[in-house]
Amino acid sequence: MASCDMRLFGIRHHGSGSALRLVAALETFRPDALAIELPADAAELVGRLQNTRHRPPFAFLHYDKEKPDRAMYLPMAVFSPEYQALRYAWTHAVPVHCIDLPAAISLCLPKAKGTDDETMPEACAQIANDPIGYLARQAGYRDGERWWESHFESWTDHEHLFGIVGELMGALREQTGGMDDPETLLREGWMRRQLHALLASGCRRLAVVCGAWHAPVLSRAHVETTPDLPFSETKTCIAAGAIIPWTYRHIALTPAYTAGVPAPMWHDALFQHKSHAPAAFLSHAAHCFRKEGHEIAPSAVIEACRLAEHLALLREFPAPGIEEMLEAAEVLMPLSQTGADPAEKLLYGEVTGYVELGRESLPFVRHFHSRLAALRLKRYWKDGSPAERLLDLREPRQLDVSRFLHACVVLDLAWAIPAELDWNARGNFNERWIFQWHPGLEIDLVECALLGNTLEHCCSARMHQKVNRAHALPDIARWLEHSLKAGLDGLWPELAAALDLACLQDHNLVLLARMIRPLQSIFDYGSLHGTPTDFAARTLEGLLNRIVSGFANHCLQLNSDRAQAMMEALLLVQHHFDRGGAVEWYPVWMGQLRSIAHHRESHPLLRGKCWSLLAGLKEIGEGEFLEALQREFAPQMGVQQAAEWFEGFLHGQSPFFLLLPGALKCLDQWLAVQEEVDFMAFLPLLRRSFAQMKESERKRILQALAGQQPNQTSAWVWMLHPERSAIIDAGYGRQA
Amino acid sequence: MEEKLIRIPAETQYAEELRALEVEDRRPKPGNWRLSPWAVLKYLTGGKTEQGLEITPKYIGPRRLLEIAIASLLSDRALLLTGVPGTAKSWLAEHLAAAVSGHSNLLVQGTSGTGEDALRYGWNYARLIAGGPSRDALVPGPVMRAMESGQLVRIEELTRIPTEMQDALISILSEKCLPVPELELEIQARQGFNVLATANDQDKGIYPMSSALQRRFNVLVMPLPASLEEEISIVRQRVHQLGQSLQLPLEELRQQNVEKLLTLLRELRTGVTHDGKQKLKPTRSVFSPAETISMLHHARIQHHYFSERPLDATDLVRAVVQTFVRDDAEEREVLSSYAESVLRKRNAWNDWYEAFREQLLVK
Repeated sequence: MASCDMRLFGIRHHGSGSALRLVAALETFRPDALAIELPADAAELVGRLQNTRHRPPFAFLHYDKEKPDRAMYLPMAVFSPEYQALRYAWTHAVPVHCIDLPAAISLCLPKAKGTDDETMPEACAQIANDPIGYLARQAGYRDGERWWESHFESWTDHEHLFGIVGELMGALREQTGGMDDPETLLREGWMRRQLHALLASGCRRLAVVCGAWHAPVLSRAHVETTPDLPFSETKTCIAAGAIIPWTYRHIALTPAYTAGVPAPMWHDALFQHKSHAPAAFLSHAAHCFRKEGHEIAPSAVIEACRLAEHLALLREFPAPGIEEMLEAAEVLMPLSQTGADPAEKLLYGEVTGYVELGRESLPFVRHFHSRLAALRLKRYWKDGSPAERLLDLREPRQLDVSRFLHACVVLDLAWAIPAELDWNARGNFNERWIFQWHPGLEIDLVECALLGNTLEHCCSARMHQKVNRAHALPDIARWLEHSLKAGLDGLWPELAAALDLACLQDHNLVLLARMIRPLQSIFDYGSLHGTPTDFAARTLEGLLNRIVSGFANHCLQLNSDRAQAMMEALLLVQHHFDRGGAVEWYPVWMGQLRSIAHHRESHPLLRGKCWSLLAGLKEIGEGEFLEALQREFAPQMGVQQAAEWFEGFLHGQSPFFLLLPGALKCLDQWLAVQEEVDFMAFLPLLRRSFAQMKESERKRILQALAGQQPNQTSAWVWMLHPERSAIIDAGYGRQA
Repeated sequence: MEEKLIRIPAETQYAEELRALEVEDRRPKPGNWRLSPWAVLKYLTGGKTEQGLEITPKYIGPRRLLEIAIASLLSDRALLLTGVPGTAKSWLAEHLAAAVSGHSNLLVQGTSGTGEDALRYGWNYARLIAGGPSRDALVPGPVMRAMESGQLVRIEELTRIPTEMQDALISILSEKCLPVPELELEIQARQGFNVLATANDQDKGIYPMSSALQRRFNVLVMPLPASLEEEISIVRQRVHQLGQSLQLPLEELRQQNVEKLLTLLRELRTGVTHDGKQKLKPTRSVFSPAETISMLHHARIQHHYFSERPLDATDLVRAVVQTFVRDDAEEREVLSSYAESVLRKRNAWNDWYEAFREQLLVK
């Protein structure tokens, strides 16, 4: 034990500078045993990894077999010091020991992190949570990464570097007085115990690779003197492990790993190209933009490098960092006009790792297959011709199947396709599904596995992805429908927000109006089933605001097709009010209708409809109506317009108001003034409108006309062909 | 006789600050620069000199923008400031020129009539006819003078200059020399020469830059104020300055009125309420700070001459409606929808809501 030479190499996780320095240090030190800060149960994965074809980035995944939701991800990129240490070990046949707390124990620890820990004073908590950030702030830097890069990256002498880092961390730990959050202390205790065993095992040169913060308490003195922590009392679970391909995007964004890296591509460039990293990074940026179709000249790349260097000079840094890179890229490859977000491509790249996998290793795939078996859907998950299945949602088991299949649709698994599903079918208890399996589905399953370990997690992750890309109102409505039917409550808030946004940006009032009924039905049925659907009410409110506030303006100067579309919208909104919804908007809506009715430039179809609505709802009096009619049917009103007005007026409503004596007289006078040509043109249009009326109504008009002008022939009476009218009379006579 | 100027150039107004910075500037200066880049940065962002003189901030916005601008001027690429009208492009250009070169009077105003005389050189026709082409007969334009003396030249509204004229700049910017074929000589640019251009990206009637010219510029987009507080401080400062220059006893705007006005303009511009809870229909007008400043200034003057009661919400709302709605029905609709859905619910804004209803009711 005394003969063993133990050296500590404190690294920054995923720090490219640390990785480079570590490799150089290991080459010099030539250890015969390597201890790395990886969970003890990762040892098996490391062994498996050595013999598998792979390419970073990838991640070690540890999860609780009972509850796959509880999982830990340990990503590795090419610039991770741990990965480089592993490579060194494989190349030089040095045995690797994973000395960190096993995942089986860490997964069972309570989640509370140090910030709400009352046993630690605030100052210590700040240091312990982010020691490098703390040092950076003391030195006047905003950002820990920047500080580390400025001070340690340009260091070429690796021997002294690790020594100095160790001293720095030692001083900080003294300041905190050995206090830290319980999980860290537990892990350090475990690591000390492992190192104690390793030292006793008889190796000559032991290299220990761990996070810089832990290095001071893992020194030889500490290992030999600090008392052991009671590990037998800690809870454990059965943990399983897997190696999955990972992406730079996940490395930057996954909250499960606290030492995240905001700019993986930059670190990659730093690792591979060292001092030429700015040129490499900006060339990569230019390549990304060219792939999207933007022409970036090489001179722009050169100038961007120079700008980055000047900026670093101005800000008094020894070398450009990621911020200077991004700013230089933004200035010289201006894409803000196109609306593309360059940051994603530049920071994360499209780098995905590769690991040759077996199917059983992924928890999600296992979960999926177990659900298939439980719901007896296995027979549809194989090669064959398309199969169909009818589900009755009143049966609880079939409801479960339906929920599962809807979740599959949310995940974009093109396996089960719903047939003829529409909004009105929410109350309909039957569903029809068509199954078609194909081999590509296996690969899709593996892709889904990256999003989460259970069906619910994957669905919410996938929905999150979809919502972040551009989307149209009908798409969101569809997703909402599917997630509703899949019973995925967690997705609704996000989708509701996206729906709000889409409603706001959509200027097509017809589309918006079509959303009223579905939203209302979500709200109604939701309250029936006890599901929280206030979002539907809120969105509906916003929707009504949009539609009702400016409705009148959208009815001006339209052509016939648009007018028909607006008519549909008008009817939908009116229908909503008729059913008793949104009482507070009613006066505003009435105001809009009045405004359309009086405006000269609104389309006659809509004008007529508004008049009939206002008359029917008793919002206007008879006198007012007559006056308006006289204004409308002034002699200069064209035939086409009159026909459209009638069409609108008579649409779906009884022509009660036409029976007012003054009204018919007014129309009569107008007709009499028309030229013969116009009159002939007008007839078929008018006939079409009148054809919609019921027989009894036509009869009443006839009687009113006859009664009104018993001795004069009126134009209206001449509408009926004499022979036909005789037949009709005869018919009435027969019935009477 | 003392002349009262409406607007004093930057290098005269802030001469004291510039002198103080120059005196204590010990860092390396690029050729022909009056101040070192770090001193220019301090001049623009504000701070205190070693002697204790207070340097007022000239540009209130993200610091990194100024750093990029100065770093661009250090390289041999020109700088182009673009953005929505009213985001302090010309203001920043003037102050940059004052700090770097010591004066801001080398200026080319871009219009569709800008010809080669302004960008290159012109002739003194009398001398030309009398004595033939000679150096004395040459009348250098601002760009040529900047090249000869190694200073910054400003080109305002670059995209209003016809494209053919713009291209005269290409060889100046890439080779840094201006050939004068009539005299068989070339004017070489001295160190410290650079071009600072501004361009609006929202107007119609713009001549787009050829890609060859675009390649010579570093483009910097000037943003709108990021936060309400920033915007309030910008607007207050400028309105106060403008009011002072008129020397009228204008009534001071009350802080809460200014805050409310800027809040509502910001909400309309960004499309979401201040607390982020409610989304609004976006407007077409931009409500940039410059427009707000001039609108407030105008409201104060109008109130001073034509009104008897104190300046309150009604005047400000009238100013808003006049400036931004004019006769546009869509904008009117957006404002009325905003008033109904947002202002009605805020109790403290009752007078504003009433004023809006009154103003927008005009048929």
